[in-house]
Amino acid sequence: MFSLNQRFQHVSSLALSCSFLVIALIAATSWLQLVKDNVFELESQLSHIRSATRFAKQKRYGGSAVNPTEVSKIRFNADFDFSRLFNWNTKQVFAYVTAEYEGDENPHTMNEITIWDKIIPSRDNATFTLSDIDAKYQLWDLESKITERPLTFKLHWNIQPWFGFLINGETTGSKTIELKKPVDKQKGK
Amino acid sequence: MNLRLELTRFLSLGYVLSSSFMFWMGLSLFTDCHSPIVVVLSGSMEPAFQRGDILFLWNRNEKNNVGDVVVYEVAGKSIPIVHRVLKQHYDRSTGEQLLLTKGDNNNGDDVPLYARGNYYLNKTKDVVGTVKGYIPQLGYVTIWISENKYAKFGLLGLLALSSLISSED
Repeated sequence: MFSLNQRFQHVSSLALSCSFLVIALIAATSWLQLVKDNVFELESQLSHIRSATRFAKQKRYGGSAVNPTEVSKIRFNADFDFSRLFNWNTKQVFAYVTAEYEGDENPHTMNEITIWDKIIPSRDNATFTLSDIDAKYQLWDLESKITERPLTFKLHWNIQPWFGFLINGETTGSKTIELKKPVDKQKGK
Repeated sequence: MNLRLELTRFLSLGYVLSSSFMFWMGLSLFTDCHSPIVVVLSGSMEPAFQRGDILFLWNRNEKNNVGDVVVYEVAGKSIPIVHRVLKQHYDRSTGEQLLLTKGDNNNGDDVPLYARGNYYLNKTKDVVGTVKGYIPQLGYVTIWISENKYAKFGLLGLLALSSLISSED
């Protein structure tokens, strides 16, 4: 009646469903813990955002010799504490600062660009006080201008779990500024 | 040799195959994604994703946000790539979205991986799906089987052996 094969199948299917139940429990309880810790309204401070803008003719930036693109380098200060994002189901937190803005020549576009990011592997290194740091990525748009329009800078996070769902959120401290026009002589043509 | 027994066995085999096929296609329809479950093949997203991790995709979103991890396929290259969105430009009037991606573990962005002359991905054309769920390491079996010929033969042998044993009882 009960062959070795049947026993094996029975045990393995039981093990499989039990482990999936445990995984579901881990994912659900860690989500509840995040809600309880109120992480979806984490505070952050972005300040002292300043820029240096140049003109680029490379195709990579969407520029050409005739119509170069503005490419901005950003420096900024940031202050945040992501230790509440860490619980038993957090493998890493990915922190990133973005600039959000509307299109200028084409007002229908909505744009968002990462200027800085950081992989945070553990709770011990989740508090940051950054002053006067260089952004990792330069800022340029599909249009040739990026300066002189309101850009909203914001710090976001993304939790990479051990099991289950990836969770995204943003912090409350956002900052809207306009970048200064480049003081430049060699604006092509 | 009992013909009725053999036919029943054949029928149950067909049942297993067709039900797994229907499950896959149903999931594919539900997520609007031609391969809703993928296995990570490269280390370019470490430490978030390692080789062999299983990812669950969703493709019913109209646009992606920056920071989303997406799977995309470049025309002419067969291997899908799992990377994070670094920039997005969304046109509300046409619904078109351009994306620039980068692997967390890579130094530069993905422009060298895109089709020649392309500096952005097109959300509707190139993106297979957005990563929503994650299970570690379980997919390593498939990598092991596809990359190790002994594993392949071993598995076939085991299957043959088990069918021999089961036909005795």
